[in-house]
Amino acid sequence: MARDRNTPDRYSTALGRLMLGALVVMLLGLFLLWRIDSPRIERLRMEITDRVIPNFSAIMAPVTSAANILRSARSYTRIYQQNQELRRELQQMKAWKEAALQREQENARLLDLNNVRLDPKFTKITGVVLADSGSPFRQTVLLNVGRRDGIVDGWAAIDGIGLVGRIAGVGERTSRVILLTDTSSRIAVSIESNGQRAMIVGDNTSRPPLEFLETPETVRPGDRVVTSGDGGVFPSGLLVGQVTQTQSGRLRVRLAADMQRLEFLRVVRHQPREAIPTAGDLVGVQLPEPRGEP
Amino acid sequence: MQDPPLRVFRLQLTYLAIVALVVLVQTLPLQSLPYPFAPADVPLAITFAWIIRRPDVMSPILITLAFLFADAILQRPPGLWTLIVLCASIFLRMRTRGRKEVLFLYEWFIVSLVMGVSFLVHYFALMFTFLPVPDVKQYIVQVLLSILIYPICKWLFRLMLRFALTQTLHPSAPRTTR
Repeated sequence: MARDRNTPDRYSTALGRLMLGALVVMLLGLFLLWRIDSPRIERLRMEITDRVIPNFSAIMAPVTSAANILRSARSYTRIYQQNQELRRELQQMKAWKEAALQREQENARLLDLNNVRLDPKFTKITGVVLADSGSPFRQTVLLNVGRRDGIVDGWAAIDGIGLVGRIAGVGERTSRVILLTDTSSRIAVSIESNGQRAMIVGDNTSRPPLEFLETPETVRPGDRVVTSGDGGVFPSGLLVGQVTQTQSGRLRVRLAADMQRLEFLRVVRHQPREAIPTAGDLVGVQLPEPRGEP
Repeated sequence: MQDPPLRVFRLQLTYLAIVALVVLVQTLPLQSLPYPFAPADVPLAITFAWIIRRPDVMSPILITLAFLFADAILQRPPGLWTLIVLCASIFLRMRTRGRKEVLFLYEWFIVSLVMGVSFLVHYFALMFTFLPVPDVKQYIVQVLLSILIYPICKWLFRLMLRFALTQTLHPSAPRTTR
């Protein structure tokens, strides 16, 4: 090959070594800086992602759609079986639909009686998934909505049915969602049947475990899990999934969201509830301070 | 005899493009479930294959640029993996300098050793800085797959070099045959 292995290497000269040393020190410094002051570097990372990924995903759109076509083609092979299953499910669903319609009327009546006003600030922004984390040890996706669409760190992302994750990192045109399955994801939830509080702690598996339950004995598989909104950062009442039990007896959550294939995500616009700092103001009008009269 | 600088530069650009492409393809949202097993670190295998064959092309700045980009996109701690890969590549460069072509099995052995040590150092560096460490089982699978993928990277690179040579050099040049 066009190379003589006996010529002295450019990088063994004094200058080369100096440059190497400088590089090593710079990289070490960058890592330590990130470890100490991670938000600033993370913002830089978000800017880079913001520049690169949207352009790239436009170029790679044919590849993505080809993969999708392949995936749907594979499902044709068992279409008969699927059809049978769907028919069966449809039968069941019809029964459910009747029940739901009755419930809906009942609900409307009760709401009318109560004069309940649902939270008007509960609106959603829909985004398309541009990219995933690309690394086996992180579970995140990148959305094509960002600061210019009003996305704020900490908001919840749902896929129409259930919670998917929370926004962590907002760029100008993109924002990153940490999925519930990521190892750094912690979401406060409550079990709907008995109102117990717990945390969902991501551990890089498709069914994250329930932690910090007070009495795990009272929780049964199949119980619905919703976000509790504890801490005031996260909206409450979003469906997360159902409790399942593993062979070893550990409680995990089967997510309601279809994590197999995330395409469109809705980001729930959420303003933290106004806190009421004092109790006295509610009771009566505050009297003027008594003047210093003798 | 050194290559013309233009050719070296073109090879460097090719390297950057390949690594960027591999990293970006990894981020395509084809599935968002956790992986059943960890895929190989392809940029690492590519870098080692290139540095053993063409140490004159792979300047440290080039490796740093490529891996910093990968760190940024793949949400790794910035700089750490880059630093480890840089040190490993310097070690490989020192080993291969002034040496004739060695037996491939021996070269593969050395490369897998260096890969293993790199991953080990990375793991302990994460542990000592109190960062979340990856699952050990998945991590070992990743190391093994990276080692397995190395011959493929090397073979592809050799193919590419041969193709590039027959394309760019006039056929009378004697150095194409070796």
